[in-house]
Amino acid sequence: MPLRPFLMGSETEFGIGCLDPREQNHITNSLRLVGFCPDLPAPDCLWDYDGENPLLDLFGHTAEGEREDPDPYANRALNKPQVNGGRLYVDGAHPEYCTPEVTDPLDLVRYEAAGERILDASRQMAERASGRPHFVLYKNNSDGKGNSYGYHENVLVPRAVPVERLVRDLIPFLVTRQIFCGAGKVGVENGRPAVPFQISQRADFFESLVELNTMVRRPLFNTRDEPHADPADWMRLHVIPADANMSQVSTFLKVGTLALVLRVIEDDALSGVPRVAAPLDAFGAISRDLTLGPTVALEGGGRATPIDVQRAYLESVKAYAGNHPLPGAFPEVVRRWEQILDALQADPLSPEREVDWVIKYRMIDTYLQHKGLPWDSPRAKAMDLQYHDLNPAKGLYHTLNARGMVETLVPPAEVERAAREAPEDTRAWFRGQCLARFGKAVYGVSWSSVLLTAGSGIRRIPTLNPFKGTRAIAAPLFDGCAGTEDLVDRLEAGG
Amino acid sequence: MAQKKTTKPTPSKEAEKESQAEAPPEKSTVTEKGKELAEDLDKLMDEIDDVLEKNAEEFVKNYVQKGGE
Repeated sequence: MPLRPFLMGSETEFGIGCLDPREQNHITNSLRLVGFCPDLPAPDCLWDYDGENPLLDLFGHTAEGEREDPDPYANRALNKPQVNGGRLYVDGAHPEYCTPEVTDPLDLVRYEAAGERILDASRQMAERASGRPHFVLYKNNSDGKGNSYGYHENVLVPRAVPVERLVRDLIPFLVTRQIFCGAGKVGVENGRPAVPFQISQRADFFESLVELNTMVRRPLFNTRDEPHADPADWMRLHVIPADANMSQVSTFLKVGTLALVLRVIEDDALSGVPRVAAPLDAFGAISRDLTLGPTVALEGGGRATPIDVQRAYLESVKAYAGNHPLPGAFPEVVRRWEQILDALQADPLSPEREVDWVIKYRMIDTYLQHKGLPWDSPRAKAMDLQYHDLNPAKGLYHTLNARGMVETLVPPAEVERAAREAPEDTRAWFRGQCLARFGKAVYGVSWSSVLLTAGSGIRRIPTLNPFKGTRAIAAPLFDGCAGTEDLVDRLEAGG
Repeated sequence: MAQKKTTKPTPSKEAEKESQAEAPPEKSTVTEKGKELAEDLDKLMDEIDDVLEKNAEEFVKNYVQKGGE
């Protein structure tokens, strides 16, 4: 029997700067930036906040706080739903892009890259409007001064999986995964022991194991329970410790391995994974050791390397894959995962085309040696930040890519297409089709709903099941469809 | 199936094939690749200087964000 499809998506908060010294309010800049987003199918489309409840946690507690509920004017300024089913919006003081829901890690790479295109296109529109470069955007996780912003992965997990098992079995994976998907950082923040360069951007900021909130005392395991699906069936695991990546291979491995490990945990089939004694300590210690040495203290004594820990997860996933043929690009995830662990074992600095922290380290190291500069020089920090600049003419990752020095997985033409077309195998397709076909007649959207102006009223179409509304299922609804009223009629007739 | 490399092969790939016949594979491949990459990076130095903001250090000093999620 084929495996149940995987379901995942990512959220990226971008750093934003403005070259006009008079315009330094991040919220204003973020609002203006998203306001410049071109090619919006429905510029006045609202986000439907009815389904949002970030105050509920996986243990059933409701935290104190106010739920978001902006008035329509603010809603339209904040939210720019995308025709590819994704969400561009302003979260706090950052522009944020969420990919549409996807079933495959290669699609995740594609749709994340599409988001970078959309953000950069918005930046270019602002430049055109002002006649000179105006905004700068970074796909990274820190300003180097103790302020961090997140990259979040989301994976659908059946409600029946005990949360305690998830906490126990996932945390060692989360603290060690950075060895192949850390984005690298010059220096340290938040009072951590000084090193010239570390593997993870985010490790400095994690201070608790299990928590609901995401902005202070950040937890390795976040307990937000907001499935955007039937809560009786599903949890949406909201994973916050990973870095945002420029390298597509790093992104591919990061999310692909997470989804696979969660599936194995779901089956209670994880075995041979070392018990990590102090995961928070390990998270930071691993980040600050570029030799990938035995920094992981184990329960009962002894130490392991982060590669050892990752290998244990890999072996469990390989055993699982032996019994359950993996779909889509997942076999490639497994193959590359093993390949990269072998490479890191032989020489931690050898994956110089695939792993962001290695690419960045080698670039900065070579430059500093050439110029006879130390690691704590401002130039090093400048290169660190500019590695993540979305502008292809300015970003150092993009400079390396243009010279063929990094490996990519998705050709530019496919990235362009992913900016315009939703994935076909999740409810994102239905959402994207409504936006593409009905444009201004779409009153609002969310992950779990589409609101259409139909006749004299507004009709709310729930899209609670992430696996319905796919092209395979919903295409007939749109064939020869005359408009929103027609679609609503067809749905009511049992479409 | 993941898309294979879309970038053109770097010179290191050809050099790799030649060196494999002569020396113990793993070590010389890593060294050879390392050398090729170092040459690529050397050429990159000028380009980085061009690309970095003239006032890069100043910009980084002024780059402050609000904490996010």
